[in-house]
Amino acid sequence: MPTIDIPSDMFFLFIIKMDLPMLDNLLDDDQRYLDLSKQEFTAWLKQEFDRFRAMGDTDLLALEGRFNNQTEAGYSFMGNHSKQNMKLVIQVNERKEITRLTTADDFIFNDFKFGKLF
Amino acid sequence: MHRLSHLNAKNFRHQAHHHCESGAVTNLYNFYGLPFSEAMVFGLGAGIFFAHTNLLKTMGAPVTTYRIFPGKIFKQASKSLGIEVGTASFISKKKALDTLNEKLQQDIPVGLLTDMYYLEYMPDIFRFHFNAHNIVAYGMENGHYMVSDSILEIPVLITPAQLQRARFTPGLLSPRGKMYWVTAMPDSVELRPAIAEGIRLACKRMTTTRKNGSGWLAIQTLANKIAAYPRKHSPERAAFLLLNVVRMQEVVGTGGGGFRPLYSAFLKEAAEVCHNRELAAYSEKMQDIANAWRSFAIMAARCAKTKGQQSVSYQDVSDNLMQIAYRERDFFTELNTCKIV
Repeated sequence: MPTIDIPSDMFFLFIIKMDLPMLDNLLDDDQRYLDLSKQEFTAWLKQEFDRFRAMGDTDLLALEGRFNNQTEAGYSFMGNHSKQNMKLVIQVNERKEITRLTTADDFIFNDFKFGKLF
Repeated sequence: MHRLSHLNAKNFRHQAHHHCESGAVTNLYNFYGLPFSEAMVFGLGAGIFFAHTNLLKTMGAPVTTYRIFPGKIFKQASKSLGIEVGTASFISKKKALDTLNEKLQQDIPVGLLTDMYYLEYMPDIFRFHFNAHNIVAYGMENGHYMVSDSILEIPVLITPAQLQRARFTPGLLSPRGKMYWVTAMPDSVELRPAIAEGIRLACKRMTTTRKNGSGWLAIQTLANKIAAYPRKHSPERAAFLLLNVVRMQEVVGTGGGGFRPLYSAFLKEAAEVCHNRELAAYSEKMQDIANAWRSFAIMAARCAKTKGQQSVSYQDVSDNLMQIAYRERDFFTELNTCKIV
């Protein structure tokens, strides 16, 4: 079952753009995210976005990777300039529905085939 | 005019931009020594537009576009700047591949139309069928194509098989291997007349009185349709249709605001190039309109999320959009009378 009842591409893009008003609009008032109320979750997102902006990031990059001792796959985010990680991890099913939001300290991004990401 | 035999495509500089076509064309122009911004290319190419049609569908919803049709930006900007270009589409996949390889061997970076779904370097979550995604191929490395996709931060590699698949997706709107490239550059570029031409064309398209689903009249049509969504569709379908309008405006390669902030940035640059204060004022007006589009998106998203049952109704959203339609009508009508050069 999807955890978040909004199109995943929009959820991802609005995180990438650090677009809090749109995220606030699209999240459910009565649902919990990362075990936080919607209000607490958006406050946490704001804190994270402020942190990235303070480091000079204008967007976040959404990249695939693995976490939980490399046993699970998901998506996480990093600043486009700072290359610092965001703790948020999103898992989706084969229908591209968001099935889980979590945090992970050991998330490792998959290698890119070309270009200098770091 | 001069031919371009002295350049090495390996020196192609990838830069990330908001939108795939204006981004690809900007990177191509930059390679040939024209240091234009994405906003300038978008404006020169008369990229600003609006259309809404039931005839084409994306993700099961009518297409809403805030920019001109694929290929037009490159064509118009190059024409007005006096840049000679080549374009080709193919029935034969082999010929498409051979022609691309031939260009790359000649150190010519090539713009390609692709279906985003088959670009495997994209994170899976962003891969959906969109047949008009622009990328630039600029070389080969270990049997892979070096690709600049301007919506990504870094250049990427793609296998020939993957690229072929993306260039020849099946269906009515297949890219059919479409490619474009620069063949010769003028000795000098006259920017001011090109700016004027781009603005005139954009105004003409946006103020057309033909009811062909484009321009400000199409915004009005969409506003009327949104008001009727709750009567004509189930709550789920109505919310889906409205959310798709938001998606097309805020998510699908526009950089947000349906390209209006980008056009405002163009008018600001154009004002500086043309030493024209009136254009600077139009840039600010366009930014106000962009802000109105943004408010519309937030309102529409709220309405879709609550299926019009709470603080924002479909009628509210429709009324809001109708005001934007009138503002765009007035804006482009007035801009068309502005003496630019």
